[in-house]
Amino acid sequence: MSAEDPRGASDAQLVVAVGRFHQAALAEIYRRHAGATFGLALRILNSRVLAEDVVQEVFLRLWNQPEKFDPERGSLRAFLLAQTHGRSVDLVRAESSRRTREEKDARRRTTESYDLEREVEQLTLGENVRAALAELQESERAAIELAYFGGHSYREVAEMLGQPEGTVKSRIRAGLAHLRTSLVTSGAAGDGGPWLES
Amino acid sequence: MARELSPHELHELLGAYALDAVDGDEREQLEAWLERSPEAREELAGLRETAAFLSHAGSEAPPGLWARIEDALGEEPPALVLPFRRRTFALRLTAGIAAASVAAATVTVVVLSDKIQRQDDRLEAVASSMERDGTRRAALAAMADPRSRTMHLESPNASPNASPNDGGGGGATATLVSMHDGAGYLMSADLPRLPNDQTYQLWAMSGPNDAPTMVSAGVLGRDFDLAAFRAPTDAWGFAITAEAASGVVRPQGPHVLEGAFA
Repeated sequence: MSAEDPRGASDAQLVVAVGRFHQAALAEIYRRHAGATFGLALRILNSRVLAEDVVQEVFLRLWNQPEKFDPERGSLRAFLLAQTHGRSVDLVRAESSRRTREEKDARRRTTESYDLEREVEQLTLGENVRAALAELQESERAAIELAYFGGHSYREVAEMLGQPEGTVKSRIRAGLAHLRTSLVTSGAAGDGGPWLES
Repeated sequence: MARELSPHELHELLGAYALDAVDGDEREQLEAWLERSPEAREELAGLRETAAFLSHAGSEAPPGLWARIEDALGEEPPALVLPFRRRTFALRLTAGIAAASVAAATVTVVVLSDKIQRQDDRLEAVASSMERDGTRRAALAAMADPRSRTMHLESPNASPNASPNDGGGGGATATLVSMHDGAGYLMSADLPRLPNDQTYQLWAMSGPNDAPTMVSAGVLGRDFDLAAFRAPTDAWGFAITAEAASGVVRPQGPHVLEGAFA
């Protein structure tokens, strides 16, 4: 990577540069991925303040521990989003957030079944991703949505959906696998992921 | 502790784990299994990549958030740069040993020790295959010592296809730091691994330039990242050769790498 031109560097090169204390490299990573990480944190936490805190924590963690990212294990985008998701879920499961979440869940239960397609449309997904989601069984989509966006454990999801725990964990895994297959088939997913790095 | 989960049950949990939806003992068992199973780690990476699609948001991060992060990054990094390259992480530390020497001369050893420790920790993690032992820390301390001398060792045979037995280093280089008392450290990257019956050997050169005295400074093994050695204090140059596994009294093979103090 040219330190003077981080926009031309790959994500992996940028992380190496972060390992050498190049703030410009971290800034470029932020430019590429902060929007998605913030969007995910906001979706889970429903609080801009908390979402900002999570994004800040995720990027500072990358700055302090760049070696945690292994480019052979996946894209930087997926890594940052996994970090964001994990931290957001920690927060949403905290006792202080539990009441709000339960109220929110209660509202959802009484109004409608979950529609992951609608949820992700709000996140401006691409056409091929929506098409892939449409191919999932409703039970798979509901389980994934509750776990991923709701921050629930699979046991909680099972209770909410009134289904056996074993069934729910199988549906989450099968749903993700089906989604992956559809995305690969449609060309949306590949070795480098669905997004451009610059 | 709950009952032990079977491999099939752990496998079934991978999807939920990818979504942070597994807690407690099950999570611990799953993470222990992931440590043991590269196939499971690979599948998990794929599941997380898929989950990342769900987050493919068009959101914009709030204005001012980057400034907050930037403010929290802390102090500037130490100026000292280690002059070795890592293949495993594609780390290319391009600044030379001269930069390290200049930095070392401008600050006290006491101040540097903290900075060295910090950069040591960071690069140790990034270049994770580097040996984590006291030798490396001693090498770092030696590099920062203004009384030390350093040199780059390069292959005299420019052919990238030349083997070590032909005097080729395959583009590898090494950095050597020598203390006033003859103690020294050798750091190398990318030297090809030798066959079982061979070893790299380090030689110190002293005496006249046109007919130097070659004294063994150590047998280095089939491949190495870092080695400590002791050499005559009047050594002006060093060379690395590929020799029989037991080591030799005098160099038999051509110089794989060589260098001299400026």
